[in-house]
Amino acid sequence: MSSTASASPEKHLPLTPAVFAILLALVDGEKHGYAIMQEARQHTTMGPGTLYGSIDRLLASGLVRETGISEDERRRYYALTALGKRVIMAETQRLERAIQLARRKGIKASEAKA
Amino acid sequence: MKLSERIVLSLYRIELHLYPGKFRRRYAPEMLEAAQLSYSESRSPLLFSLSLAIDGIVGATREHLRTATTSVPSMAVITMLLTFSLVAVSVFHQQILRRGADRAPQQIVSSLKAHASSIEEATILQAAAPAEIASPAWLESQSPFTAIYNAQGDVVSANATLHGALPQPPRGIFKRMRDSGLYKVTWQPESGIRVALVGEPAASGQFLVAGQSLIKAETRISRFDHILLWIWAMELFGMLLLYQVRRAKGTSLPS
Repeated sequence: MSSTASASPEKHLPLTPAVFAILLALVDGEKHGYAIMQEARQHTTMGPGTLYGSIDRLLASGLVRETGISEDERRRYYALTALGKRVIMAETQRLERAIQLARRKGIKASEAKA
Repeated sequence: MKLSERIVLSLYRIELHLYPGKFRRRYAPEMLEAAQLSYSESRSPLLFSLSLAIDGIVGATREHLRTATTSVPSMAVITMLLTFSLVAVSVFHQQILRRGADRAPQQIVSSLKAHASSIEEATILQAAAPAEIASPAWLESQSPFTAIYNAQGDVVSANATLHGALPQPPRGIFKRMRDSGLYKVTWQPESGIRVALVGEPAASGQFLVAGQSLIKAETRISRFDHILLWIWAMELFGMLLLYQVRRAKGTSLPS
């Protein structure tokens, strides 16, 4: 684990679906690993290996920080750093731009199931 | 905790040893807890176990690649992980096809058992034209044969023959059928003939048996394993190439 934190959010883009889901889950506040996984699974597939591998990389790149351990010491809690917040905002903007472009080209979400 | 859950979690605990030591010491307890909670919430334990195993293999490989240097032990671990994952894919594919070969015979036996309660089982098969099990046409086909055996395991009636005689599997399997109810086994009467046999005891004490040739399934397994073997060889070549390139540059693998 090297501390390769980059202060520019754009350097971390684009995010993988798993990393985006993890950061999004932490927008509401600190959570432990399983709670992150439960929320992330609403929009992407994620097992423990993917979750903790991603968390390890996010800790190393300074997007997430560890905030504490539960009383029984079984659960560690994680929260977004200031850089992490800027990165997910930048990624959301990037996705919004992509969606706007898709809309302009006539792509409609309601037609996806047809 | 159910026995199946305990087995899956024990296997996962073993699989966590595939991760680099530092990563494992830091995250293994949390990963185990997440796996346990996810198992209890999963709708299909079998599918969940499979996805957990794949997630573990992919995750461990990724972590080794992140931390690996050009040292021979690191490369050996990565190669071992890739080999292990290919073997797992091969075994899974083999099991899917083998179980698939049991499906049609099992349906026939269930249907036969449902109808046999009101009529004499021995008469059920007499109208059918017998097929020859040893013939290439039957071996290549997906048409199951059906047979009825008495309480001693002697053949009573069948809609197929093996070299002109009614098919007679070893009598030992009928004891297993009596003990376990529905019983599935691979029967190889001779070299080149392999049959997926499914049998079940009937209320009358007789045994209802159906069998399908395994040649087609095993040919597909063999072809798939050849592809996996090529992938494995390319992986080995790739690792060797990567090792040489990194060694020449004197750098570590990308994180």
